[in-house]
Amino acid sequence: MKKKWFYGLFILFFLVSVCACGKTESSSVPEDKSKTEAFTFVYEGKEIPLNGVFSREEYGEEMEYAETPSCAFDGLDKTYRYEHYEITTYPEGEEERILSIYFLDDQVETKEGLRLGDEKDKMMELYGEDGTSHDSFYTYTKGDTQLEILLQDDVVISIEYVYPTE
Amino acid sequence: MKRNIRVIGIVFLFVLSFFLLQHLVEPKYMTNLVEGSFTREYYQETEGHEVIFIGDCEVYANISPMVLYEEEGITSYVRGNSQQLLWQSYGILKETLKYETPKVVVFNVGAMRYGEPVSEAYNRLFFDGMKWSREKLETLSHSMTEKENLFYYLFPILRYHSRITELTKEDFTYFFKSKKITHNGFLINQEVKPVGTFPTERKLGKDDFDEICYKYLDQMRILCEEHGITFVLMKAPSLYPYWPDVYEQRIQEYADKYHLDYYNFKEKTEKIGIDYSQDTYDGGLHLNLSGATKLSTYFSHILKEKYQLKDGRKDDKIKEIYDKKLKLYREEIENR
Repeated sequence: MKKKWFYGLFILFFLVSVCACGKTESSSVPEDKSKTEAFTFVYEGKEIPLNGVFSREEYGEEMEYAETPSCAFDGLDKTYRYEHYEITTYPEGEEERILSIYFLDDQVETKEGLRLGDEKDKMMELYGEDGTSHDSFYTYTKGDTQLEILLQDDVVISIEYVYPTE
Repeated sequence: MKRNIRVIGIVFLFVLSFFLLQHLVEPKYMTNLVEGSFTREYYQETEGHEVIFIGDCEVYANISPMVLYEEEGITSYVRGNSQQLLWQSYGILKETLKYETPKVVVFNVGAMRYGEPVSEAYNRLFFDGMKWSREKLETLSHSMTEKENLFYYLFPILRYHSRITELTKEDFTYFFKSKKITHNGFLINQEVKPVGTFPTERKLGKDDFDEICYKYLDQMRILCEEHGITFVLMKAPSLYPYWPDVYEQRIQEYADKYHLDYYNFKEKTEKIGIDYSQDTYDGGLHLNLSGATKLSTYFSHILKEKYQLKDGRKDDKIKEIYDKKLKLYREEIENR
């Protein structure tokens, strides 16, 4: 009986150890998911992929720049404001990756053709009923990326591409 | 008999090794990510406080209890953590009331804007140092993100085992001991980074906070009522994340409805004397030591006058404790 109890404990320890070793946290550098199915913003023929590596050489000099630290963690979220949109990046090792793209005016549109000021019907036509909605806030998901659209009186007032990091 | 002793000995050694190994791989939060030590530090307090501040980084970076004591003799403690959400604030308040009953609880309303768990990383900073209790379990159940698991909190080795190859000097230096990081929950930062540019303000899809935030705000208010504590609301003068007018209106309505005092210090920056080119360490998100001293001085007079708080400087026992605390506080400021 005592032997069984002892072996039981041993097995429990073994299982806990196996569980511990089996679980690996996603601390390594993520694969470039921008290459898989995802929402992509295109501006003047150039693709700006979410979670893609950002560089000024690639996307040009911004009009304004802002940086926002987190409450506790190292690294800064950096925001590059261009004429019609704003790109926010997050740090990943030595690189900056694109976290979000926010539309500033109706001079830009999504790859599918939605822009600020469009009607809800057009949004539904382009993206369907598949998005999740909370009040007048719609979230469409493709792969690991999201397209967030906000409506006011059935008119699109905000469009933002987001790469959720957690 | 001998066999029994041997079995017990083996089991004991096994359990001891398990917990020692587990402790080794757990983050110590002493030199890196010190924000993870805030919850635990409170347990070292030996005396109660007249005022408890509850909230996120907008309290632990902006309110200095040492200044409150120096100015008006108010004893206080900041129970704030990075990204401390409403249900966590409720949990930590409930836990605090097991140890003491302050006269006033001041809650910073900035976190009302978040209606769902933000990230595991912030949860860890809040929970890793928290003693196991019913409050911890309840708060955990509301805080965990989809990827998290209660067993990871019960047995941190499951979460941190990969650190075994990343151990640093800190893990060994602070294996058996810890050092004080805050001064009654206040984290000193003396750097200066003037206000710069912020990202464009996002449009809100709603004109009110999430129901869940009100639920826990109600619970904090009721908990204070049940204990005869004055519940006060404040908003720190942080310039970012934005605090839209509609949020301000909702909080003011809530305060009016329940006859609570609400202080929005963002609207009093001139009176307080805050200079955003000098008094912030990260471009306007948090105040630095200079800014926090100005805000705390201003608030100390309000607290003293409005809530008839005791002057701890006239109590020998409190004076002795706070003289030591002040000495450490001044030393840290001078040595930085």
